[in-house]
Amino acid sequence: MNYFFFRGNKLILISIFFVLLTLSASAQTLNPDTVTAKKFDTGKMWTYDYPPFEYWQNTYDFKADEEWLNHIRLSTLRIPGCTASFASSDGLIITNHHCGTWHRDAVEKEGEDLYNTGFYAETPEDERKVPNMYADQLKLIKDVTEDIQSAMDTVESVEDKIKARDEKISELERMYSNDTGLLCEVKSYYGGGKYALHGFKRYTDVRLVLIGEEWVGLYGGDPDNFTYPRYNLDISFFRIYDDNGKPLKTDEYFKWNTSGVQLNDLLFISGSPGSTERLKTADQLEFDRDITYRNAAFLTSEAYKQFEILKELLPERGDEFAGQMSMVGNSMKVFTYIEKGLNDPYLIARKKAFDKNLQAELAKNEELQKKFGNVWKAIKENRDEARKYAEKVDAYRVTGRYTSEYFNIAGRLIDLAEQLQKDESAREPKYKGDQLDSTIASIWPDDFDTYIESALLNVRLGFIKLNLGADNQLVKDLMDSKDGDEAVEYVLNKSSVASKEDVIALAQKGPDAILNSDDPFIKYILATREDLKEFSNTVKEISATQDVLEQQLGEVMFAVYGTSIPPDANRSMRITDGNVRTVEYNGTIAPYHTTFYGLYNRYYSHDKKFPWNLPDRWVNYPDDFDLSTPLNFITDIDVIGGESGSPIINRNGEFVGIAFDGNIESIIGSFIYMPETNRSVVVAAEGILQALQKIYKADRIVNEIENGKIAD
Amino acid sequence: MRLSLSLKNFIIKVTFAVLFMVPAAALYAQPTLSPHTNYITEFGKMWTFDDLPLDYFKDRYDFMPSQGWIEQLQMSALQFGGGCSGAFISQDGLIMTNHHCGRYGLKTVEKEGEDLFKTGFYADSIGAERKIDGLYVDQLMLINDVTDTVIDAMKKGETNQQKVENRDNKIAELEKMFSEKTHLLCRVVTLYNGAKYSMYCYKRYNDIRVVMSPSFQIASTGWDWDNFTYPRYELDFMFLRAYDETGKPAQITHYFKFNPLGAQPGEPIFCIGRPGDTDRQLSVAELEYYRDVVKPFAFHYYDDIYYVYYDLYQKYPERESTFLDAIMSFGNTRKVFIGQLDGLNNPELMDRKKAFEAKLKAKVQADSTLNNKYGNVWDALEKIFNEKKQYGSKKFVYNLLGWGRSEYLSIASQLVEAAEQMQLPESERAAAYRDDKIDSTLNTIYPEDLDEETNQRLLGVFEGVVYHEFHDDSLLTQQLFNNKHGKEAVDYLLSRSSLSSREKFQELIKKNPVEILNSDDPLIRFIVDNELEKNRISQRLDEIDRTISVLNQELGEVIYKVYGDRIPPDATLTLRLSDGVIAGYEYNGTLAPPKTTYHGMYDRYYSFGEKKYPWGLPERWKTEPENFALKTPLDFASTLDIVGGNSGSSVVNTKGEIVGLVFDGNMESLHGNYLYMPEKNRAVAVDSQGLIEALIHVYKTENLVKEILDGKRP
Repeated sequence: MNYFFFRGNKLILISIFFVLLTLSASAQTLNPDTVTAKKFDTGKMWTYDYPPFEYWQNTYDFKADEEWLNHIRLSTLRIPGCTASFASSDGLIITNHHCGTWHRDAVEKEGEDLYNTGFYAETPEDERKVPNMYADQLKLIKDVTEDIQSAMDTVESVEDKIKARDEKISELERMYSNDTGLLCEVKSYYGGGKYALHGFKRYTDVRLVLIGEEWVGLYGGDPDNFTYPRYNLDISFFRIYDDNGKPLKTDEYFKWNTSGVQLNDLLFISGSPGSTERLKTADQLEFDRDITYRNAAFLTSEAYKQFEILKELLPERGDEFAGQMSMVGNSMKVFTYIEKGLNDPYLIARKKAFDKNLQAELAKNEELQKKFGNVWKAIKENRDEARKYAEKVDAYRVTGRYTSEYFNIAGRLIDLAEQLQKDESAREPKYKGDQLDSTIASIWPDDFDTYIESALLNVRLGFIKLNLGADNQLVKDLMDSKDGDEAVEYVLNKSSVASKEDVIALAQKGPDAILNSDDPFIKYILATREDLKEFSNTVKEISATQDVLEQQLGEVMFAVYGTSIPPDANRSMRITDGNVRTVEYNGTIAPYHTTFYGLYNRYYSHDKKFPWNLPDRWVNYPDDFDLSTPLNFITDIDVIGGESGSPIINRNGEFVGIAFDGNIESIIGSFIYMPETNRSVVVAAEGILQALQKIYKADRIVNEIENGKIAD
Repeated sequence: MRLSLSLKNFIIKVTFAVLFMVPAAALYAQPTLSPHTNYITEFGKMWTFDDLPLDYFKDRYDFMPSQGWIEQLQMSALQFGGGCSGAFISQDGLIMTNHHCGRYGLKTVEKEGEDLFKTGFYADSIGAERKIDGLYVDQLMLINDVTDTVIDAMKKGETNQQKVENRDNKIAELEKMFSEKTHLLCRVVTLYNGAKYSMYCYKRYNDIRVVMSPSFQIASTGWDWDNFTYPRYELDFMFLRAYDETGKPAQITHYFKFNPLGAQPGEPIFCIGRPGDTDRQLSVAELEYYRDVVKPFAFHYYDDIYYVYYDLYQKYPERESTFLDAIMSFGNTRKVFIGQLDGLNNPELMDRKKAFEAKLKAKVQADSTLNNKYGNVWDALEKIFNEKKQYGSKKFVYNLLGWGRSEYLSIASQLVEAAEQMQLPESERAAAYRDDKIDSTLNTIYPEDLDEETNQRLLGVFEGVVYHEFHDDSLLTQQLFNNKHGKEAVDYLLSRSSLSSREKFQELIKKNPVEILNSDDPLIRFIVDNELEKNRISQRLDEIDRTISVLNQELGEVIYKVYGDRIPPDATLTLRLSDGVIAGYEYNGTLAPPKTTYHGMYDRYYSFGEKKYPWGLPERWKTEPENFALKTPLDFASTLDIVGGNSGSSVVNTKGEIVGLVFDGNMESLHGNYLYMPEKNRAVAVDSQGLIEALIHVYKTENLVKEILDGKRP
C-alpha cells in the first residue's frame, strides 16, 4: 500500500481527476454470445490407447515413441483408490501418504501408534505385508468398440441395448482374462463412443516400507486440502513381492531426477483419474448444478457446520468431531466449489459454446446430422424430465449418508408394525417368537448419540425443505416449515420416538398404534414411501435413456474430433502433459515451488496449532537439513481425484515428483479444464530424498532409489 | 471527492512557526461519554478523537480507556508529511513510520556515489542524521466543534454556488482566527459529508532528519506483486527524528513506549493514524456510478500504463532505478482500483448498501420533518448521476489524459497553450510568456532526453482509451490513427506529427502562433478542433459536481441526524483511532495465519528461484543471520480498520505500547472503501518483535535499539 506522502499526492491527483474530469467505462457485463470455447476445455487426460504423439511434437518439439510410452505405462501402478509407481528394480513403489494410511492401520501391531510415529522398516525383514492390498500393472490394451456397438445395434429398446452392452462386456472380459491370465476390464470412452479392453497384471503381495507421521503426511489437514502454496510430504513407500516371497524384479521402474524442476519444464503425469464430466452438454451440467451438486454441497457443508458447532460445544470430544469434519471436509470443498463453478455464467456460456461448435461441425455431415442431430434436444428433454422427480426422490429418501438416526428408528418401527400385522408364520425370522423382544429392544440403537443425531436431524430437515420448499404440505406437517434448531426442536417435541422409552412404549401398543401414530418421522415416511418407490424407478429409467443418449453424443464427438480430444476420466489409465507454472492467486503470484522454510513458517505462523503442528523430530531438525530444498511444486497438468500418488515424469522418463492434490481452482476441472488457474500439486523428488535422509534416516531406501536397486 | 475538498487545506504549503506550545490538557476536547449503542459496524471503526465510543470498547474488550490514555495516544501519533502517519517513540523526538513513507525523502539526502535504496542508511550519532528538506510532521493538539458556525453561514446562501462559497469563506475565516489565537496550524475538517465541521489544530515540526532506513528490497519484499496482499514478509519501517528550532533533537512529552514482545492474537489493539478517504456513506447511485463508470475505466487505464513499465523493466532490468517508481506507483494504483471494483461487484456488498439505504429512507419517510427536508435526496442523486454517466470519459480524452500520460501528449498541450498565449498582447500573457522568459519557456517544452520507447508505448495507452471512447470510424479516430490499431496506430500518428522529434518540434515552434494552431499536426488539430466541445462538457460537469456536493451534504446531514455518532464519519486524512485484534482469516480455500515469520520470507525467496525481482533478498539477508530466530513473527494481519493514509500508523496495546507498525491492507481491505466487512478485511503490520529482532541481529544499530527500548537517547 503506498499511496502516501509523495506517492500519496499521486493518488490524490487521481481523485482530483475524478472530480474535474469524468472517467467513464461501460459496465463489465457478460455477453454470453461472445464467449468462446477453448481448445483444451475438455482437458488433456490422454488415453494410452491413443497417445497424442503429433500434438506433443508440435507443441513441445518433443518426440515420444511407443518405447518411451510403454516404459511410463509399465512403471505406473494402479492401487486401491490411488496410483503408485516403481522406484527401483527391486519392486519398491511410492504412493501418497493419504493413499497408504489404511494399509498402515492394517499392519499396526498391539501397542504401536503408527498414526503418530509413522513407520519405517529398518531392514527388508521388517517390511510388513498388507492384507488385501494389490497393485495393478496395465499390460494389454485392445479396442473392442466394434464388438460392443454391434451387439447393441442388434436390439431396439433402451433397456435391451443396455443389457446387450453389459452382457457383451462381461463376455469379453471373461474371454480375455482366460486367454491372457490378466485381469481384464472393458473401459468405455466418450460415453460409449469407444470401448477398450485393458488387461492388468495384479500383484497381491505388497508390503509397507515407510510412512511418515499422520500430520506430516497430511500437513495443514482439512483447511489446506485443495490449496497451494502447500508444504506437504504426502508420501509412503511399499514394496511388491513376487510369488516366491522375494522382492519383485522389474525392468520397468522410474529413475529419480532430483536436480529440481524449472519454470516451464515439460512434465507428464501417468495415473488413473477417477471421473470428470467435461463432455456433458450444458443442459446436463445445469441439471447437476441445480440439483445434484446443490444438494451434495448443502449436505456436506451443513454437516460440516454442525460438527463444528459440536466441537465448540463439547470440547472434550473435540478430536472426534475434528475427525468428522476432516472426513466431510474434502467432499464439501469439492461439491461447493463445483457448484460455485457451475454457477459462473461465464463458464456455462463457455460450455454452451463447446456444444455449439460440435453441433456446427456435425451439421457439415449430412448423414451424421440425420442420425445424431437430435441428440442435444433429446438430452435436454431427458434432463427436464429428470428435474420433475429428482428433488422429490432426494427429499423422500431419508436413509443413507448424513441422515439422522431418528428416521431410521421410525423406519424400523414401521417395519415392525407391518410384520406384526402378518401372521407369525409369514413374518421374517427376527419378528418371530423369542427373537421379537430383542428386535424391539434394538430399534433404538445402544450407541445412540443425542448430540450427533440432533445435529444430523438439523441437516436433514434443512435438506428436505430445500428440495420441497417451505410451502409444501409435507414440510409444513413435518417441521411447520421452520428452520435450523427451531425445526429440530419442533419435530422432537412432537415425536413419539425421541427416546428409547417412547419407542418401546409405542412398539408395545401394536401395529395400528404405530402406523396411525402422530409421530412426524413415521408420518413423513408413510406419506412419501409409495411415491419414493415409484419415482425412484422412473428416475432409473430416465438415467438409462441418458446413458444411451450419451453414447450417441460420444459417437458424434468421436466422429467429429477423433482422439484429438480425450474422453472423460473413468478410472482408466491416462497420460497428461503440462508445464511447471506459477499461478496468480490472492492478488499476487504463487511460486512454482515451495520449500521446507515454508513448512516452518506455517508451523510458527499458526502458533504450532493443529493441523499445522509438527512432530518433535521435525521441530528439532538436524543442522544439515537444508530448508531451502523444494518441498512441493505446481504444474498446469490436468489432474482429478484418483490420480493421488501418480508419478510426475520429465521428458527423459525420469521421476521428478509425485502428485497429491490440486489447488482450489482445480476443482472445477471436474467439468472444464482452465490452464490459467488449474494447478496440480506435487511433492518434489528432492524434497522426498532430503526428508528421508535427514529426518527419517532411511539410508537404505535413499540408496535404493539413487542406485535403482537394493544395495548388494 | 470530499477528500479533494478537505485536502485543499492541507496541500497549501504553509510555513507556520509555532511560537509556544499550548498546554495540551487545557485544549483537549472532552470525548463524549454518552452511551453509544447499536453501532452500525459496516461503517467501520475509524473513530475521531473527540468522539470515541468508550462504552463500545468496554463492551467489546472489557477495556475502559482513561482520559490520560486517550490524550497520550492522540499526541504521540503524528500526521507524517502530505499523506502518511507516524509516531513519536522517544522523548528525544525519534519518529517511526514506513519505509514507503520516507522513501522519497531518503532519495533527496543521498550523497554522491551512494545508493541508499540498496544499502539502507544508519546514522550512529546525532551529527550523522540527515535533514529531509520540505518534510514535516503534525501533532494534533486541539479539536473544536465548529459545525453550527459553518452551517449557519452556508444557509445564508441562496444558490448552490453561493452556499458553497459561503461555506468556504467561513472556513477560511475560522482557520485564520483559530491559528492566530492558538499559534497552532488550524484547519477545518469536514465530517459526515458536511454534517459536522471540526477545527483541528496542529503543532508542526519542520526539521525532520532520517536516522535509519533498511534497503528498499527488504522494505518492499514482493514489490508491486505482494502489495495489498497477505500473508506478507516485509520490514517496511524507517526511523527519523524531529528537531526543534534551535537545531536540537525535539524534546517530546508524549511518545509511545515500544513493546519488543508484540501482541497476541485476540488481544485488543489500536492503531492511530490518518486514513485518507472512504466512501462508506455515499448513496447507492454514486457507488453504481463508480462501479459502472469510474473504476473500470481507471483500472484499465492504469493497468495499461503499469504493463508499459513492467514490460520495459523486464526488457531492461539494468534500468531498475528508472522504472522502479513507476512500477510501484502504477502497480499500486491499478491494484487499488481493481480491489475497489471487486468490492463494488461483490453482490453481498451492494445488497448490504442497498439494504442500509432502504432502511434509512424508511426512517426518513416515517418522520415528516425529515421527509420534507431530505426525502427527495436519493431521487435527486440518482437523476444527477444518470446524467453524469452520459458524459463518459470523453473529457478525459479531450484533456489528453492525466497522470502517467505520454510525454508527447504533454508536449502537445503545452505547445497549444504556448501558441494561444503568444497570440495575446504581451501584457495579457501569463508570466512565463513575457519578456526574457519566453525563450526559456518555449525551449523547455520539448525535453532534451525524451525516452522515445517509453513514451511511444504510453501513446499506445492513449490510443486504447480513444478507441474505447470514440469507436472505430469516428472522425476523431480517423484523424488521429487513420483507423489503425496498436503499434501501427502510434506509428501512423507520429509519422504525421512534428512532435516525433525535438528537431522537428523546434522547427515548428519557430513559426508564428497562427501557423502553429493551424498546422496539420494531428495532435494539435485534435486539441484545437475539440476545444469547444471540451469546454461545453467541462462547464456542465462543474455544475453537476456542485449539485452533487450539496446533495451529498444533505445526505450526510440526514445520516448524522438519524444515526448520530453511532457511526464514525468517512475518512478525511485526519487523525483517527481504530480498534481491532490480530486475527487470521479465510483465504485461498484455507486459513491465512494471524502472523507470519522470517521462515516465510526465506520460503518466498527460494520458492521463486532466488531471483532478484521481486522476491529477492539484500546481501546482508542472503545468509541466515547468526543468533537470529527465523520463527520470530515478522508481519501480522488484524481487524484494525484502515485505508490509504494509515501507512506508518503505530499499533498499540491497552497499555499504549507499540506492538506493530501498519503498512498495508489485504486485497479485501480495498472493499472497505465502501463497507467494512470484518470477515476478511485485514490491516497488515510489521510485528514489533520482528522489527526489533532485525535491528538487533541484522542491522546491529545498537544506539537506536537502546533508544527505542528506553524511550530516550543513550
